[in-house]
Amino acid sequence: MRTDFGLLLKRFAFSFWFILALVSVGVIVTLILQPESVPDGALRTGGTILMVAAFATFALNFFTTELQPQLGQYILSLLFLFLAGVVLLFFPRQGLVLPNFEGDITPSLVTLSLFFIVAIGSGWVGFLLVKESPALNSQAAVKYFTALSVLVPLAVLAFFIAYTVSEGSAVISWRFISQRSDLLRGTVGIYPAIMGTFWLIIGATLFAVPIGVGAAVFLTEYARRKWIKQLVGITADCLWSTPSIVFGLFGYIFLVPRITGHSTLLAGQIILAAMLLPLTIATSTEALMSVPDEFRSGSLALGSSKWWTIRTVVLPSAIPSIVTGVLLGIGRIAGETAPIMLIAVMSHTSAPNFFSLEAPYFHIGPLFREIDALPYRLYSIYKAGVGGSIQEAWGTAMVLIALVLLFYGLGITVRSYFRRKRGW
Amino acid sequence: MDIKQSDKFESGYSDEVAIEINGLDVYYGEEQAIQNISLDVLRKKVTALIGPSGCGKSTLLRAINRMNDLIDGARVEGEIKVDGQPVYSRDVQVSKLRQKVGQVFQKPNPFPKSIYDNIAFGPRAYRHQLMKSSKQLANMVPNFFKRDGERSPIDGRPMDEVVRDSLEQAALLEEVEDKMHESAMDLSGGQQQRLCIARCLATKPEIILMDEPTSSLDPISAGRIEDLIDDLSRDYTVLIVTHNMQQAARISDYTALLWLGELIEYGETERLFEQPDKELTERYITGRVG
Amino acid sequence: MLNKISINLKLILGLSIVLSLIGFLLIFVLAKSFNIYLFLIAIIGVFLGWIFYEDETAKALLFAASTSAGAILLLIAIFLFIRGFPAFQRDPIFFLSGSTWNVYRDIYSLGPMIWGSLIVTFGATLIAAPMGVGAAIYIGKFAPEWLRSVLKPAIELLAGIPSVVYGFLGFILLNRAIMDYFAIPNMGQFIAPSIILGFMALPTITSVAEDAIDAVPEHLEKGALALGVTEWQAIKEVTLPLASSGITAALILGIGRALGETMAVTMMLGHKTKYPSPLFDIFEPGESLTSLIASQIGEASGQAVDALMGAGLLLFFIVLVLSTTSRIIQSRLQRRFRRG
Repeated sequence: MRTDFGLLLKRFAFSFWFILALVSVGVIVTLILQPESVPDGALRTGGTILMVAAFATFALNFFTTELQPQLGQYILSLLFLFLAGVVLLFFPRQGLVLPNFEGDITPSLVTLSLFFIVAIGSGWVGFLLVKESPALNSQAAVKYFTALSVLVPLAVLAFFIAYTVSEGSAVISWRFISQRSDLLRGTVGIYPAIMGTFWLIIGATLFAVPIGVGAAVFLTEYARRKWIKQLVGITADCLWSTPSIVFGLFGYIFLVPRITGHSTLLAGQIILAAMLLPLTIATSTEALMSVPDEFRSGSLALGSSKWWTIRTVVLPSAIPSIVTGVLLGIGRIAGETAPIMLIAVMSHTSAPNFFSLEAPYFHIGPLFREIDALPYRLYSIYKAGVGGSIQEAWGTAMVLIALVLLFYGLGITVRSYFRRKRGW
Repeated sequence: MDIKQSDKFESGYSDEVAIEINGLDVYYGEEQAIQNISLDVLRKKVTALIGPSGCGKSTLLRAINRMNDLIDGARVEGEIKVDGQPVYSRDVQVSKLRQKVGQVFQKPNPFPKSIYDNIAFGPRAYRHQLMKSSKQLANMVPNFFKRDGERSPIDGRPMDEVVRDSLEQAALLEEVEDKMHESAMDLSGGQQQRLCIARCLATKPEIILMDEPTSSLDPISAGRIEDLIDDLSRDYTVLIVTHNMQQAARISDYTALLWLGELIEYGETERLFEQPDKELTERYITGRVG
Repeated sequence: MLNKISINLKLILGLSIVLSLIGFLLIFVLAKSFNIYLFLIAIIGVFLGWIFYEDETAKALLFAASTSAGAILLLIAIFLFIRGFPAFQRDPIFFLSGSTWNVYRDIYSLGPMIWGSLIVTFGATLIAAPMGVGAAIYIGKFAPEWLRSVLKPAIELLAGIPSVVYGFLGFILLNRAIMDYFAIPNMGQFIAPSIILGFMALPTITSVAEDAIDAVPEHLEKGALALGVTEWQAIKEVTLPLASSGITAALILGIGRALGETMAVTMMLGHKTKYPSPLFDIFEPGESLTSLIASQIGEASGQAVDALMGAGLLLFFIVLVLSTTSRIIQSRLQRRFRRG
């Protein structure tokens, strides 16, 4: 049996790159844990090795395989590695630092990211070399890169959340959540903002859900003509993609003069409802369409009217999906700033107080007053200059993220619970 | 071949006729699904509609309780009378008609509710209609305040009794007696189909239309449904669509053969299977066409 | 006889509800006042209707609900047009392509801001487009079922993080880092919001593109696989060409998202209302349409308000066109597969 030298060489090259990738991951970990312990010389040496290795692999692969290698891929990978090597050689510790206002220096980011690039690049080349046929090679490469384009955004997301939590958790306390900021007494808290956001969400949901679900029911159950469905679909889409600042402007020129002439909670609720509406329509339509037709014909064949069928069979079956959609939608509008900035908020107002222990028990007055809201709080801290109340800003950001995560978690839980439970 | 008319029974039967169909045409858009069918279905008998798939059996069935109204572009011409009342006339209340003419579908389709609520669904829907037409505010008092006292608006019996009776008639009571308030979706396919029959019985229908009720079931469940149909024919008029000729021969008293939207032959099952008048019928039942 | 009377009652009830509701809305929109009597008449009418003619009332209410989205969109368009059009009327060419926005000299032109929006959106698209489509391919085709059910909501979460939080994080982390690393004297360069916006627009692209990939019937790809090609070849030759119009729709939608994003841009840009020089210098501070509105509307007065409304109108119009185009492409794609 003839030995396939090409294949042998490839396997050799792959293991070489695999080891290099492992080493570079190791270096990254060391850099994170003990940034000072890796000498510059090591980095320079590493860069040199990478460059040489890149050339060597290129040469090896280009001349030894019977199967035509895909030239473009090799050149790309080479460029990648070459770049990494050069930067490593010449700028081992170019000072990209992350200031976090306490003078802490986090490990050198460029170096970190370059090592990351090297690891990825070497991994890629490794993947290119495992398979014998170019088609399989390119498939592996595509798989790897598409996976990477999922991973990178998720890594960014995870980094943002982790960073916010690590900065914010020092600030978060029961007091921070349950009292208001008061310069005279020296307290810092975001209670009014939390309550403001709470009432905004409640109001927006109360306005948007009945109308949105109603529209979806009409579209799926009553509307016979196709163009009506298409028209409503397009308008809902347009409404959904309308920039949030345009909603703000609209509220400013339409709602504010028609309610009290100044910013009010009610205006904010209505505008957020208008933003929630298209999402509710879309998810409810989808939910209603997924209810099997057998339910409808079964009910109608028993002599019930269309509306009775909708009320007793169709809607109850669709409610879990609708709830999920609405929860996800609330998670999105809870953090909207631009629309409420002009029409609903004012810094340092107190929490709206709808209930009292005395006679009327319930007041609608707060609907017509300004509120504070979490996202606006963050923005106003930014606007006033971050230096002073950076702690409060991180705390607010963390509460906001927690809120969004809460709604997403709830929505996904509802979905998976009912998907398991329902029988069709 | 003369297949236009005249398989109708002579007029002496009219008392016994439950459904009278005269010159029925059904169109889906441009396409004609049923061409000039005339036939009389007899009271308290099982009548089977057989024929190859796509021959218009189910369309004919749906035309009787006006379920065709739900299909976009469906158009019905000709006359159908149930108990002497024309079905396609302006002052017919479709919901009343469908309550009187129940339907069982090909695939069991219980609602995602409890078994009890499934059976009580028809009577409750009927109450909804009643409220509307007689505008009695007194009826607005929600019944769920007095669940035990809930009564079927159709015959005024307690709902519990109606549910148990219907389940018993559908030979399902024993199996579900202790899980009346559990979800109907957890039942097996055959049980679900019997539940659908029971659900249909709860509205006190006179006629039950069955659209291949056993085709999605295993042979044993199918056998139980066939037995059930036999029992039901004592009290109800049953019109059953089937593409299974053995089944038609086993359970039906009368059989009609449909072919490309036309009625080929109609008569007593025994005669039709043993000495068919038409050549096409013979070829179909012996399996040489179809 | 009885029947006729009841029909007339129905008609009267319906008419009175509709008329009082229309009257109420007209008075609210045109005369800016809340007419409680008409409102009460409508409410009572609906209540009576619900008692006597539940089915018909329900249908009418549902129909009214289905017009809500269109009504809101129409109101936005009309009112923005009324307030924003004067700015265009004066000198449309200068307004759209001049180079000065100066509050003190009362000269307003959107040129630099339009350019700024273009730069930021282009940069964001450079990041979001390849990555978003790549992620869609991975989630739609390569990922196993369990991973898919984890990745989809995770990517969606990326769109759920409020844009103020993105803006704040970007301002604290990215702006400073870029300033320090490239030794730039001032903050608020175009590049920082471009990067962040790329990640914000990505989920939109991914989810719509994934829908498009999912919509391609599986048997077409299976047919290719049966001929012995690899999974990727099948995707490349069969699925992607068929889904390409849907992916285009996704990209258009993503661009619209990036263009309309407000808070993150406002917090990360330097609010310099001039063209960068050279024109493509992404390391210079600047301003986009959205950030202009968000940062100036609070203090603006007189002609500045008109100009800002004009900017809002322009933005609304562009995004409207983009999302309508995207929607039409999508529905065409769906129709194609439903037929085929």
